[in-house]
Parts: sequence; structure tokens; C-alpha cells
Amino acid sequence: MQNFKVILLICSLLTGLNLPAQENMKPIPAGSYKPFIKGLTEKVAVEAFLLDTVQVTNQDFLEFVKANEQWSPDKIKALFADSAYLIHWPKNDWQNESKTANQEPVVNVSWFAANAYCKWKNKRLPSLHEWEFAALALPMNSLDSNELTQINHSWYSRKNSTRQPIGSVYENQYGIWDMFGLVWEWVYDFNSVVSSNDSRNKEEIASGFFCGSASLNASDASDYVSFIRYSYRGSLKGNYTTRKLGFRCAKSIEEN
Amino acid sequence: MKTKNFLNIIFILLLVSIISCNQKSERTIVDPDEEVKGVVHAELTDAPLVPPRIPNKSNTKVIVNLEIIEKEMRLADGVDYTFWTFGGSVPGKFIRVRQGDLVEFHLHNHPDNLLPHNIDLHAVTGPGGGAEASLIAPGKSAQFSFRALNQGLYVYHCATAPVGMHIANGMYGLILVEPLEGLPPVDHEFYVMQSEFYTSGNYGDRGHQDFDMQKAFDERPDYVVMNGSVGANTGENAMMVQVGETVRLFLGNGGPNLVSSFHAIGEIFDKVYVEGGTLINHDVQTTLIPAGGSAIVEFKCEVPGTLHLVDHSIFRAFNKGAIAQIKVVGDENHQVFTGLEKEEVYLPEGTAIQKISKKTEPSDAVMIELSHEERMEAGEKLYKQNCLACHMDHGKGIPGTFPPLVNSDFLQARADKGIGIVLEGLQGEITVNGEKYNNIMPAVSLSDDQVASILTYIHNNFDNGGGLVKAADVKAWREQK
Amino acid sequence: MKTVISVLIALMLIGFSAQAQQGKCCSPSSTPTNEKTVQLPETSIYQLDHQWENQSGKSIQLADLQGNPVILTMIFTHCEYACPMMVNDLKQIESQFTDKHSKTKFVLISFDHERDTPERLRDYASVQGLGENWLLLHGNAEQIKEISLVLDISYEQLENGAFAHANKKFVLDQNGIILFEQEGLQTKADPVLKALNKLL
Repeated sequence: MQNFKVILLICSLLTGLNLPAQENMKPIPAGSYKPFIKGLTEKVAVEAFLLDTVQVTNQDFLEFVKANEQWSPDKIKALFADSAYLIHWPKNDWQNESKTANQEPVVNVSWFAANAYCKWKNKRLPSLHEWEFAALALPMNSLDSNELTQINHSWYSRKNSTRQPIGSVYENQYGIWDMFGLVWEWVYDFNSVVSSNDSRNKEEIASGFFCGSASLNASDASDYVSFIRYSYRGSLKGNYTTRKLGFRCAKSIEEN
Repeated sequence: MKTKNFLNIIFILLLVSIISCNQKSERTIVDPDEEVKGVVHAELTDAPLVPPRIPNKSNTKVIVNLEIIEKEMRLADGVDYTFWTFGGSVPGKFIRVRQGDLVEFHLHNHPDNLLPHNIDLHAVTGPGGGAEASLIAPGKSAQFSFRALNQGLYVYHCATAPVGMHIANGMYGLILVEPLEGLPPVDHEFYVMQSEFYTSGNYGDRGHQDFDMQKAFDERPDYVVMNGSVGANTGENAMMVQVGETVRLFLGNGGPNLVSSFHAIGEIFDKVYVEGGTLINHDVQTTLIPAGGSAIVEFKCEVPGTLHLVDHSIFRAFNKGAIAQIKVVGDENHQVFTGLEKEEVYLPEGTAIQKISKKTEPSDAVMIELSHEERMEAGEKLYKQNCLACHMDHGKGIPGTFPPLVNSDFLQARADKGIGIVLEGLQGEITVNGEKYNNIMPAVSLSDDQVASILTYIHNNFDNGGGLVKAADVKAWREQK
Repeated sequence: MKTVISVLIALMLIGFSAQAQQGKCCSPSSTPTNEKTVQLPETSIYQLDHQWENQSGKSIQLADLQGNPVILTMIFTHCEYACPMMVNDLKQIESQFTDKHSKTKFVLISFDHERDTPERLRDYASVQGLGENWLLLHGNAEQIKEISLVLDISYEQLENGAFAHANKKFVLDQNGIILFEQEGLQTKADPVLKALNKLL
């Protein structure tokens, strides 16, 4: 009996060792979904994974920048972020926590910066399919599939200057906050959508894009909200930063 | 014999010249290899203004800077909408270049915007009309150049997916490519662009409105407007012209869905550049402007008065906002139009008199009681929309035809404060302030709240003893019928 | 019992120190402290200091290409249509080379980290008749993603292992800065040569 108790104690300690890496993350169960851009298959399978319940905040990112000087606004290289990188942080006083660290989602960060942050946390950026799959979930206690459309449409028409903290728009049925309505979010493979910049060329296979690319049709031409989101990703490059673009991290479950 | 031959020759020459006298304006082809000389910065204007004629030259490099801004503005009185704009207003800036010019286009997406945008100019010969070259994220700019090969008046619009929504939110404007020899001078040029808006609420519903996708799919707009909002160019904002002046209108239709049957009430178009191209038509009453298309019309204003520019699919004009005004000021010209010359009584054979139905609309389910001040404000607007045409904005009516409302003994004697008159109409002979009137006022179909506002306004603004008419009073009147 | 307790204590200590461990990770790309990369201009793509393997199995970094112009693109060897056309376009450019182009290199980076191993790349180069001045590079998924972002080449792996991808070729200057970019297939060699000649 003594031995059994000891073994139990050791086991619980071992599992306890893994807890810190999962702070503020919730599991998204495995499943499949019909992606907005029709590919060669109709549905895409998504493995179970962990996702941050909220976006990375200014406070979180400040901690990262302080520990990794090359990502500070003074030292950043143009290849990794454009000239508007962290432009909302006070120029000569960004280290000052009282001025910079708050609970709003960090914006004006590039893919490279977001990717580096997630890795620093032993996490990674979510893939496009993971993000889209997690975003499908309706708000808690809702059965109305139109609610997400409403949230998006009222976000597009809200006054530009509004700034809100994390966890302020809606919590979805996976326990994830504000997939829509707060900021756009980086995904690991945002440049996976092979398309021309003119969104009307959906039927043609433009001469520059081939090698197995299926003709690009949206799976639902009335899903304007997805058109908007995919166009947004299509306008981005890896070193771009914008005032409404932030991110959250993910983690594969096997890595534990 | 010689005379006959001579006459034959003259006849043939005449025939040939008539046939070759084409119905078009000169259509010139530009050689894209011709050298470009000089650089100018394009002057861009907001509707209804048009940039000045370009001095006599072509094949110039023209630099255009256009900024995209998403902003909340007035769509109608009490109604706000978040518009996506080229240059800060709807329709977007008017761009004027000459055939043969090399246009260096700089498109900027303001960093506070939420969405990526691009531009498709119908004047461009190139992939997507420039849309392929210009998809830009917020906070970025794109530059591309094109040679204006064809003359004409062209629409430009955003072509980012979903294209329908970008257009529906106001992303369109006009670019004029003047022919090599330039357009003939006129006294006034104006820019008028028709378009629709699809809102979550109904026409007139107050407050901030969102875009309604389903209505856009179903092509059921709530607003059809000239120059981006209801009343953008009416009343104080009407376009002004003098009697005797010539006018050219650069017309566009941003759509996204409807075709416009454009007509100027009180004018005939002497000249129409059909679809904004080089085919000319003359003496036209109503011309079509295709969605995503244009037209140019010219006329001379011979008499004073207000010209109403409308979409003659008429309910759009009077119930959705598709109306703009040109005020022509100056001396009367009785050779052209006299106004009313004579009025007489007309007695048909027999005594059959039309009866108006006494049926009234059911009452509102939910009553809205506003304050006195709110009733006055709302009432003033409703009066303008529903009563002003006959009773005039000074409330004095038209002597002999429409009775006055100012200090009206007839109204003040009514136990129902006038509610019955509004809801049922009125006909037959009445005496108001000592004068007889015998006309027909039709019933006005309005909600209890609206009737209460109109009557409160009439009782107060036109010296009828003041007071407040409540929606509950209107409801009670309906119920006792 | 004492042994058990000390083991438990040791485990707990390890656990707590693991918490403090964060911040020590990161692949080379986010910490360019490499000597070679520190001197490079800010917009040089050679700042990505990943280790690649070429078709000979040799480990190289992009910064090793400094000093001479480079013509660069991304392909994968199992590609049946677009990539052969791209390689052909590059060969057309090469066919117009003169003596001054002797040190210009062609660099092909593969999208396919699983299948385009150095051996496979060597065979491909042989079949295609690519000379000593052609480098074919193999790397892991992460470095492929990063180079694609820096070049703005969108791509996606499909169910059957193939890749849908944009077709772009680049002329890089001696410092790894993109001087010229050409999109598409069956393209004209002249604009590329014109750009390249500016560097020589």
C-alpha cells in the first residue's frame, strides 16, 4: 500500500510538471470541416490541439521583447517587420510598463514577430485550418448560426478608433474568446491561399498559379464574412504589421 | 446636258457627304508608343463638382493620389452608415485626364481601416482594370500606371472579395478620359452618381445601420440615392445655374444592382453621349445609365425654376431618395413656359363624384411617445415629406386651391385636433379663414407616432394654439371608428 | 523511504526549473546573431540563417551566396507542369550568359522537405542537365515557410503530396537584396538579364 501511494504521488507530480505550458489554453477536439476555399477534397480533417483562449496582449508581448532585444522596436530589421512595427508603443519609453503593458491584444506585429513569440512560449501559431475550425464554434449558449455573421458585420461598421481588451466580445462553445470582432489574427500558413489579387478571377487558373492548384471556388458564395477574411489574409506579407492585426498561439497535444 | 451632269455631280457629292456625316463625335485612336511629355498632378473633386478642363495638350504623365477611408457618415436624416470611400466621400473623387495620358496611380489604404481594398478602373486596358496590381492591406500603398487609350466616361470601383459588398458600401467613382481635342466648353459641368444602399433596418429607421447582405442578394434596396446620401444635392445643396446657361452632367451608376432611367423633370437632353461613349443621341427625355456604367447629357436652361433629376423608376425617386436638384435662377421666359394661365370650373355631364374609401390603417402595436421637442423635430421633417407639396412650407397653401394651415379656424375647431383629416383625407366644400375651398385631400398613411408628430408641428409652427398631440390620441381615434 | 523522499524532491525541483526554462528556445531565424548575417543590409534575405543542404549533401547558409548575383526560385521535383517550365525559363536566361555571368548562381529551393532529399535533388539536376552553377536546396518545413514569406510566394501542400504554388523568379544582388522579380511561366528572359546586368 505504501508503494502504491508513492507511485500515485510520483505520477501526479509528473503530470503537474506539464501544467505551466497550458496556462490560458483550451483543447479543441479533433474534427473536420468544409473549408471556404474548395480544394481537392471537400472536407479537411483537423487533429485535436490546444488554443490560447485569448489573444496575446501588450503586456505579454512586452515581456517577450524585454527578453529578446532583437524584437524591440529599436532593433527590429526591415526583413522581419515593416516600419510601423509596434508603432502604438511610446517611441522612447516603450520599456515603461505603466505606458505599454495593458490587456489589449497586441497589434502592429508581423508574422515573424508573432511566430517568434509563440516559439518563445514553447507554442506555435495555429495553422489556417486549425484557426478556421476553432472559429466555427458559435457563442456560448447560442443555437443561431447567423450570430457570427452579425458579430462580424457590426465589427466592420464599428468606429475605427474603438479599442477593447481581450475577452470582451464573445466566448465560443470551445471556451475561446473573440475569434471575431476584436482583431484579425495571424495564422502560421496564411500564405497558403494561392490566388491572384483580383478576387474576381475565381474561375480561371491564372497562368502564374498551377502545379496541382484546384480552380479556386468558394464553397459558399454567400459567405461574405469568409470572403472578407480570406481577402484580408491575401493582402498580407510576412513582414506586414497593421493596427487591427494581432495573434494567439496554439500547441499540439502530442508535444506534452 | 452639261447642267444635268453638273447637277448630278452636286447631288452625288451631297449624298456622299450626308452619309459620311457620322452620328458620332470624332473617334480617335491613340498610339500607345507616342512619347509622353511633362508631368501634372491631377486635381480631384467631390461630387457634384468636376475638375476644370485640361488645357489643350495630351500624352502627359498625370499623377493621381487616391486615399481609401472607411468612415461613418450620414445616409439620411437621423441615419448613419459606415461607408467605405475613395477619397472620403461617396461617390469617390472625380478624376479627369485626356486621351493618351499616362496615368501614374497611387492608391493608399488608410492605416485605421479594417479591410484590404483595391481598384478597378474601367478606363484601364490591363488585367482586372488595375485590380490585380493593387490589393493593399491597411496602412499600405500601391502604385501602377496605365495609358488612357480610349476616350469616354468610366466607372471605377473596388474589386476586393466580396466585390458586391465593397461596391454596396460606396466604393465607386468616375474617371473622365477626354477626347484628344477636348470636350466642347459649356457653362457648367456637374458630377452626379446614382447608387443603392441595403440596410438592416427600413428606409428612414433612425440610428446606425449595418449592411444587409440578404437584401443585396435579393436586389431590394432601402435607399436609392444621388451622390451618396438622401438629399445630398437638394434644397440648400442644390446645384445652381443661371437662365441661359449650358449644362453638362457627367452621370454614373455605381449600382451595385439597379439600372437607372435618368430624367430631368422640366428639361430635355439636347445631347446624350450614350453610355458615356462616342455615340451621340439628341432630344432625349430619359436615358439609361447601366449599373457600373455612365452617360453624359447636355442641355440649356431656358427658364428659371428647379429641375429635379430623378431615376424615373419613380418610387425610387420619391420614396427612396433618388432625387437631386438644379436650381435655375433668372428671368422668366414666357415664350418657353408661361406657368398657369387660366383656371376654370369644369362640370362633367352627370353628377357622379368619386368617393375615397373610409378604411383606415390598423394602429401600431407599440406606441412611441416622444417629447414636445422631439415631436417638433420629427414633425418638421414629416411635414416636408408629406404636406409641403400642397400646403407649402410657409403653411399658407395656394389661394383658391389648397387651404392654409396658418392660424386655421377650421383646424382649431376640430375636436380631433385634425387626426381624422390626416388619416381619412377630406373632400367637399369647406370654409377656412373666410375663404371657400373645394378640393380633395387624400388620406395619408402614417403610423400613430408619425401622425402625432406632424400634427404637433402644425399646431405649433403655424400658430394654431400649440399643444402636444400624442400617439395615444391617434390610436384612440382609430379605435373609436 | 528516505530514497523515495529525495527522489520526489528531486522531481519537484526539476519541475520548477522547467517552468523557468521558457525563453531559451527559438530557431536561428529569430535570433540572427550569426557573424555572417550581422553585417548584412536590413532587407537582405540572407538574414535568414537556416542551414540548408544542397544536392551534394553539403550544409550551407544563404549568406554563403554573398558576393555574386543570384537567380532564385522555388520548385519541387515531383511537379509535372509548372516547375519544368520554370526551369526551362531559367535555362533560357542561362543560354544568353556571357563571360561576365560566370559567377552568377541559380538557386532552386524545394517546397518538398519530405521527398526532395539531397539525393533526389542530385538526380533531378542530372536529369535536367543543370551545371555546377546551379544549387538545389533542401530544408525543413519551418525554414521553407520562412523563405516563402520573405519572397512572398504563396503555396499549399495538397492531399496527394503535391504543392500548389505561385511561380516567381528573383534576381538577388551581391548582398541578398531582391533587385528584380518576375511572375509567371514561359516568360521573357530579357527583363531578367537587364536587371542582372545592372549588377555586373
